[in-house]
Amino acid sequence: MPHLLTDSLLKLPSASPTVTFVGHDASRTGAPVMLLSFLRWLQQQDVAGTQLVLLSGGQLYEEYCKVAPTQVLPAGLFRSSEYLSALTSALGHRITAPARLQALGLRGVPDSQVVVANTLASLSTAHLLVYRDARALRPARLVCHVHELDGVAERVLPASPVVRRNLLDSVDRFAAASKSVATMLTDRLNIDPRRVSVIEEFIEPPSPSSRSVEAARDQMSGGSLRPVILSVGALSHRKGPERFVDLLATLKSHPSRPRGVWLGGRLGSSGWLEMQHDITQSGLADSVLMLPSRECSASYIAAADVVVSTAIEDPFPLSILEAAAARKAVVGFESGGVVDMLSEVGHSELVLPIGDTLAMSAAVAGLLSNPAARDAVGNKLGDWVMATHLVEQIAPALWQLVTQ
Amino acid sequence: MSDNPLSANPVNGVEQHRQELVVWIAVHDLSRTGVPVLLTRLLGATPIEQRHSIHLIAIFGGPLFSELTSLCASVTVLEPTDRRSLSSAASIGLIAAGMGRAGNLVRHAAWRAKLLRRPQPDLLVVHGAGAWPVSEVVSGKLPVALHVHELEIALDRSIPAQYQAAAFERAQTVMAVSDPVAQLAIRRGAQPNKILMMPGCVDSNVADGPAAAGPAAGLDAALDEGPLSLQGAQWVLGAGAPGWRKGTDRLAAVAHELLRSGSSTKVGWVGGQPSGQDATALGRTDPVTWFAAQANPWALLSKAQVFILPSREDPMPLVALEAGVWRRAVVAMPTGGVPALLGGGRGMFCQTQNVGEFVDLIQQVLASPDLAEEMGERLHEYVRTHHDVAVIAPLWLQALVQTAGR
Repeated sequence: MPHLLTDSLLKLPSASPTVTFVGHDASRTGAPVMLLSFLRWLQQQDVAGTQLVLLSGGQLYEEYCKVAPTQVLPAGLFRSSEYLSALTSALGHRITAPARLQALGLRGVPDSQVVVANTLASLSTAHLLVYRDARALRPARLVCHVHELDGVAERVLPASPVVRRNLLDSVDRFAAASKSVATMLTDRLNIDPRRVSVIEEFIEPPSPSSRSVEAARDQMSGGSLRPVILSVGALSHRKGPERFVDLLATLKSHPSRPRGVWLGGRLGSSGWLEMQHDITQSGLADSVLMLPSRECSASYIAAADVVVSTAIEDPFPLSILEAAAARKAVVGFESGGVVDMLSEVGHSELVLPIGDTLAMSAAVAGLLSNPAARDAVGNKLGDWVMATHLVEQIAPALWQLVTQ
Repeated sequence: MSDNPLSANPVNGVEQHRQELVVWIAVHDLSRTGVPVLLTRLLGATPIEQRHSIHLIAIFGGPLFSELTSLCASVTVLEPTDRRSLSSAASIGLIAAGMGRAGNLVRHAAWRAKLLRRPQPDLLVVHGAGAWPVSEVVSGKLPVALHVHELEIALDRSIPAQYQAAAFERAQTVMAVSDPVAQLAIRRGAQPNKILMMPGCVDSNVADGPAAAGPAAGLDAALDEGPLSLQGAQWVLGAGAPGWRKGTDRLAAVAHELLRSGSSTKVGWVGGQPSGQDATALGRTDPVTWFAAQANPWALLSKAQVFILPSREDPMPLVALEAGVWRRAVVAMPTGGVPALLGGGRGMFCQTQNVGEFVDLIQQVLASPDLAEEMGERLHEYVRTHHDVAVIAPLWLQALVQTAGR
């Protein structure tokens, strides 16, 4: 993937345009985490004039505030607009008041020359920010960083074909988080390929302390010598926690008696309860551990033996990049950047057809039975990610796309 | 003595007056899924003269509306299915604003207004825990029969865990569709002496006769949804609403494993494609053939070499009973009443939820048509004697009469 040169821009921060980033929330999930890395990098480069607007808050809010002026839009106003929309819909009248009401919430956001929607989910608000002042002679440039694939895109984009088309057409440039995202944009959302650039996901090199890694290992293995298979992600069906349990059920008879750990999700949520149910019904109470989402996922990744992605749709999971950086063997279903990553290091056999849990089971079993092969895969992945997917390698290209 | 269980009994051998028992039956929706379909069967087996005192209250509508309208005195749908009602939107707004009590009052007032013209009930039957909110708009003194069709996850979504004990206390009778459901109800606060087993049922004669398989065109049309070359192939089929509960995400694993083993058997599902977060990834080859939901799914399902139930949570799947009617060999995950149904060589089921074991069992059945036929026959006989609607419907009606104290 070509990375654009941006030295001239970076040396002239005073010449940089003012940029407003719009994020859907501050949760500790892929797109918000990557935006935080990017903003931190911009701060390190002394780039001034950036600000962040969030549709709702979350665990990363404090960290965002350290790297850019950050404000969370008034939730009440947005909720009110949604209720108003529901009420008018119930009455059989679709009126424009909700959008206008939302625009009221944007009054406190200073103008900028560029507005960047960090996800498709935040694109409508970013669009509103660009076009809130109908009298403006030259609206801000609108950029959308797309971290979604089809299923999520379908859910977060406007349902009306006309409104959806208008929204997508209003974007000047799209940054696609993986090649498969770019394909979705051009082939299925019919966006001119000249407006789409692949800017793959990137990470800050994780550096957990050996103490925290030991503690994580102890917690995950239950103090045993059993190997640990880890998956990191929210407890949504898209990420496949149910397939993770199925995977562990098929590995129950493996001689190494692996332990499975799912890291992510919220205690007591519906996804949490479903997965608990699955674990019990599969007779895996002593073999699968669920841990809620936490700040120090890098320690857990570094302490695992194999990291798997059971997602049926994932543009480029950051946890998989972090696993590669920690030199862990990775196995995943054929979706998004995992495919490119494993094929680039010559291990396409670790990419399995979506939903083929039994093939994934065989691939993981092979790695469990052969620690040397496991280490070899991990080392290749480590070399690859450290050479190509760290923030300093990709952030310049993203900044150039935003500002050019 | 009156032969009408929904009429008052005569006193001292003399029929004083035939005071009819007015029954309201609440159901969550009128979709073509297990709970509403079972209600259709029970009402269909109720003598016509008794149905005119039964009023159906559905929170949401659905494709069974017309059929159910012909089977009882009235059907009232409380909420539109395509949008939020004004009262519902207002109610949610109030609840989100921290005024939960006011929100509930708004919704209940709107529901009561819709039910004003219905005759006052002598009994409320809550057919499925999803309809429990209807119990909040009737008098606290009205006898209630709660027919539980749910296991843990579905029950907790229908009635929040903290209110379940009160709900079971409120109900005079708790009917359970399978023993695991009964055990769950007891664990959640139901008195064991209130529990009555009331399993699912089928018309076991439906598969007999030349017209039973439905018009051949129906099958052709269904097969036309997939590549036509699939006609004539062996099929492993299942049915239901796709999603986590029915375990449809496991079908891809089954299909891939069958392909790897060199089998030409196809894997299909009747009931539509997964949607939302379960949606099949676009732009990828899907090894599963998804057939739309249809009024007569057995026109297609009856052609299966193996009928599969990959469910994670299913208290007593009606499709398993229907498979028995059609003498199909069933391979299932162990959930709810399935092991009891398929035990004794009437089918095969995994020891635990394990996809590997599940595929092994499917392959065993595919490899032995004799075994498949034998299991199909045994299941057919069991369903005919234990789950025929002619057996279950009178028990159900009797339970309603007893709950009403008549």
